[in-house]
Amino acid sequence: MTTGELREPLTDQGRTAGDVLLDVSGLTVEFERRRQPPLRAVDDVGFRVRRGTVVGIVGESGSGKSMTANAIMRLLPSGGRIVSGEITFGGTPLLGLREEAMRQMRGKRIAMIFQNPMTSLNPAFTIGRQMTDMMVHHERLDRDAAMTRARELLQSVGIPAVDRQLAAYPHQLSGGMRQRVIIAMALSCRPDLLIADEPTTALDVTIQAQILELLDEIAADPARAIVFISHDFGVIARMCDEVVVMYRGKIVETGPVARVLSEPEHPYTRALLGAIPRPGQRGQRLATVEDQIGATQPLGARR
Amino acid sequence: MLAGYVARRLVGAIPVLLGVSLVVFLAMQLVPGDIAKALLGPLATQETVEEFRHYLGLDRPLPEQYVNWLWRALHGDLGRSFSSNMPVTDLLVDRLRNSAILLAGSLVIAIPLGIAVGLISAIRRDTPFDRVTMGATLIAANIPTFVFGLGLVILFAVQVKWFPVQGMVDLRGEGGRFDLLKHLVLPAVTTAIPPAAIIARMVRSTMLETMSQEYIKAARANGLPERTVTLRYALRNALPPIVTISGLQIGFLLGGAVFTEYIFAWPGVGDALYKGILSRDIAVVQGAVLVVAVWFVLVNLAVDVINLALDPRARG
Repeated sequence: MTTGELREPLTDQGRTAGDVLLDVSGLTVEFERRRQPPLRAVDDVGFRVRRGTVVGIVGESGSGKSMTANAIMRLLPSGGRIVSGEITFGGTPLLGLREEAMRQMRGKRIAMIFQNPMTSLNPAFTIGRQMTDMMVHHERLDRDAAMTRARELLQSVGIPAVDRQLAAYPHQLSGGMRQRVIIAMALSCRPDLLIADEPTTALDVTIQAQILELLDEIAADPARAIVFISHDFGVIARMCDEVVVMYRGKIVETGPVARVLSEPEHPYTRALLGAIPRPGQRGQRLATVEDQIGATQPLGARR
Repeated sequence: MLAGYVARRLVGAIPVLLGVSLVVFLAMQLVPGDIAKALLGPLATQETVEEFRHYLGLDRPLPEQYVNWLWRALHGDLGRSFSSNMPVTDLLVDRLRNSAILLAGSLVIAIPLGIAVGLISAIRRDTPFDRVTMGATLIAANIPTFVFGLGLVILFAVQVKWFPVQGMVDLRGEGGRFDLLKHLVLPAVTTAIPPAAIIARMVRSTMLETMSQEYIKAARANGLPERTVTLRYALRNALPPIVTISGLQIGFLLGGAVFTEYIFAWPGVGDALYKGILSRDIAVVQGAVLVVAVWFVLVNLAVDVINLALDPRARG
């Protein structure tokens, strides 16, 4: 344990927080529906992400955590639109950018890792081709230079027999290997911000631990920040410095991860933590969020 | 591996072709009337008719007739046309060449047009362009050849006289490539439009399906330009069903151009088939159907080989 003086600039995970890289405020996303009022998927969401830190967004399915990430990328599914709010990234207001300028941001300055490594690589192209496509486009590298960099990147994310993997098609790789490839691709243009949307959910537990370790290494770069989306408080506790708890499109609680875990203020956060199965609970019914907050926060009480 | 696959498929095609030839042979037996009588005319005596039937081999039992035909067909002899007294093989080789010209002409239109329309509709989903073209393709895919082909003739050959009404060459002119091309336009368009519409609908639906895949979302999140995302990442994955449906259309076009060839007096296989049926020219009908069946088998094989080459998972 460090002393009180040293603890000041450090975050809960012992990282050093830098200046604000991403500032989201008042973000509201709505989806058009037929003969119904639009569905508000994200409602007045605001949070800040400092360089050198990992900010977790936690919540159950449908809480709006992925939509928040998609809104930051400005890649909402059809029918969805950002109704209000501001997203400032490295001093640039993203919502004011033209589509072409926004596209230059994607992959180059903000990269995203998706949940399912089995479906987020193109099945028709080799790993090398997909990795270099991105670098050729953003960094104006030629194929050979891009291939050299792809080789280094794959080595850095712990992939063995790099040359063989570069020539392989996605189906020839295991899930864990594919997620490493996806992470290497996300890092290929040295982005400032990495958005990881449930990056370990589709993987089995041992692979999960390896990928978390890798992301931990990536988070060590003081110039970089990670937004880590998960429904799993255990993973959030392991990875994040700060946590944003979302419920039905709204932020219900936010703060340093240790504080939120030890003294959750909001009944929903308590309920979510209470829903984690613990050893010694054997034979008992597992608690659900509805069990615990049904009385305090009826499900229809959103607006 | 590929050669072995092709060999196995070709062997597998033999029973298919045997079945087709048998069905055609039996179907021709159902046609009412006696060929020998029809050929010799009303003045022939019963004796001459019997003699002629014997000469044609028509007095033998059916299985024997079939086996004889098959044996000769295997040696490249498809018999003699009753009506033109030409060897069917020679006749079909000529016809096949003409049909291939028509087929090539209509493919040059159908495939690029179908793919382009389907792509634009998929990219501009739910826009007026999409709605109008999808409505139009529904009509175009089902429009009878008589209506569409004759409509084109009335418009472009009779009214504005840009193209000739019928035939492959201008008998009064000097012929040549340009003359052939001028004669080709209307029949090629007539045969191209329904397949183009079917291909367009297929391209649109498979593109929409592919565009909803997560790797497309990932490609966008990686900042790749929309052109690369749709034309390379998505189209490449949408290709196998497009190849399959295009192949099916190419298969149909050779034999399915019967009405077009008839309307435009295009001397192809379809026209030979049509006339053969009318004059109960068994040898010609059998030969033509066999050619069409072989063509179908070959196109299907080509489609499967292309799709095998397109799918890295199938290559192992």
